[in-house]
Amino acid sequence: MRLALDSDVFTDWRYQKPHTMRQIRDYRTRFGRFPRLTAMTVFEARFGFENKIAKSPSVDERLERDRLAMENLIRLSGVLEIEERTTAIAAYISARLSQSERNRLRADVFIAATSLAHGYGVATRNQRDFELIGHHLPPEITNLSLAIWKP
Amino acid sequence: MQTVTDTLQPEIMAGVLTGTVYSPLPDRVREHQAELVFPAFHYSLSAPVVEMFMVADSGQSTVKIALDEAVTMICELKGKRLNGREKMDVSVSFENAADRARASFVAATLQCLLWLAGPMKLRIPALELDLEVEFIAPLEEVNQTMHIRHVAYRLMVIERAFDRKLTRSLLFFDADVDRIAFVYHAIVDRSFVWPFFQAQFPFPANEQSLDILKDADRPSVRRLNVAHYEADVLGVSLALGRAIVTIENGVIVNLEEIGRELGTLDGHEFPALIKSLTGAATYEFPDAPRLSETKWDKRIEEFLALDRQLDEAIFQAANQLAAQSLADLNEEEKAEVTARPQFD
Repeated sequence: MRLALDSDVFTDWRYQKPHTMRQIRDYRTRFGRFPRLTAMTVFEARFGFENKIAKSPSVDERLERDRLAMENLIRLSGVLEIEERTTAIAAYISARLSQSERNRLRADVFIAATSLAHGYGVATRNQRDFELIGHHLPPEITNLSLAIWKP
Repeated sequence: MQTVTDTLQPEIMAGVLTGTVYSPLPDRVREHQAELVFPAFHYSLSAPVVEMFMVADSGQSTVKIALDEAVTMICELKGKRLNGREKMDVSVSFENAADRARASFVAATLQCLLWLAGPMKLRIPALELDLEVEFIAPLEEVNQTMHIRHVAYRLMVIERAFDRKLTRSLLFFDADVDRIAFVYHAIVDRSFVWPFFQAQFPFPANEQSLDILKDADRPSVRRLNVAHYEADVLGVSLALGRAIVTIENGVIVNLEEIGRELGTLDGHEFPALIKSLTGAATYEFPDAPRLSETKWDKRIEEFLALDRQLDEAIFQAANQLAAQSLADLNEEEKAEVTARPQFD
C-alpha cells in the first residue's frame, strides 16, 4: 500500500530516528519513490518554522538554512493536496467523533482523509488515534490502511 | 486526483570540472567508442559514437552516443579555448526512438547515474576528448527519474514474461503504476499481500457454493478460487491464470441476494460481493507466466547491478535533507519547531 507520512513520523525522520530511517529506506526501495506527505503534515511542519520566525526579532540564518532543507525534502517527497473529496471524508469522520476527540484529532483527521482521498495509507506511530479515526469512515471506504512505524 | 509520473527530463546540465578538447574536431565521426566512467560507483561503460559535429568557430560541438538499440545520449559541448585549454559546459539529453520500457529503463538509469554517482569522466580516446564532469539536478527530478526507472523495469519483466510489447507511452498515472506492480508481483513473487477493499466474485448456484454461507454473518477468512484472472496493464489485458484470493476478516455484503440466488440450486451464476475489514488480501497465482531464467543482456544486467548503489545514493541525499532540517538548532529549538500547532 502506498503511504503518506503522519506528522509524527515526518518529525521522527527529521530527528534521524533509526527505525524511521530504516522504514523509509525500505519503502523507497519497494515502491521506487519516497512516501508522500499530506498537505496537513506540510502545514504542521511549516508552522513550526513560521511560529519560531514570527517570534524572532531578526532574520536567523540557521533557521532559514534548516527551513530550506525541509522545503526541499517536501518537494522531493511530493504533497497530497486537500481536495473536495478530502473535505467530504474529513467532515464525515469529524461529525462522528466526540467534541474532545474532534479537537484533539483535528489535524490527524485531515491527514487520514487526504490519504484516503488519494488512495494512500498512513504511516504513523500513533496507532490508537488513527484506529479510532478508521472506525468512523464513510460507507464507501472500507478501511484506513495503517503502517505503524515505531521502534 | 491522479498523480502523473512524468517522462524524462529533456536536458541535464553540468559544469566541466577538468578536461581538454582538441579542436578542430572532425565534422563527422563514426565508429569511435565513448567511455563513461563513474568512479564512485566503480562502474564504467563503453558505447559507440554514432555522430559528432561541430559548428565552425562557435566552440560548440555535439556528440551522439548510442547507449542501446533505441537510446542515444546527446552531449552538447560548449566552450572556448582559454590559455591553451578548453573552458566548457556540457549538457546531456536522451533521444528515445521507441516508447518502450527498455529504452526508458536505459535512459533513466544513465540519467540517474549522471546525477547520483558524483563526478564522472567522459572519454572518447580517438578524438582525444577527456572530460571530468559533475551533473547536479533538483532532487525531486532525480527521484522522479528513479521512479520511472523502477516502473520501466517492472514493465520489462511483464513484457518478457508475456512475450508482449506493451508500452506506447511512458506517461503513467498512479493507477497504472499499481496495475504494473500487481502483475509484476504475480510473475515474480507468485504470492503477495495486496490492498483489497471490496470485489465481486462469481459463484454457481449449486450445493458446493453453499459453503459461502458458512459464518456468513461475521468476519472470517474467505478463500476464493478464481478460474481465470485477467489484469489490465496500459490497456492490454493479461491472463494471469488461476488465482486464489484469501481475504482475512472478509464479510459478505449482499447476503440476502446470495441466499435468494443459491436457493434455486439451478447452476446459474450469481455475484457474491465480499469486502475485507482489514483492507488487504493475499493473492496467489500458481499458473502465472514466469520470467525466463535466461539472463538479460550485458547492458541490462549491468544496470540492474547498480540498483543498490542508486537506491542508497538517493536515500542518503534525501536523508541528508531530513537531518539538515534540524541540524542548526539546539534541543529546545528543535522541540519548538517540531511541536504540532495548538488551536485551543
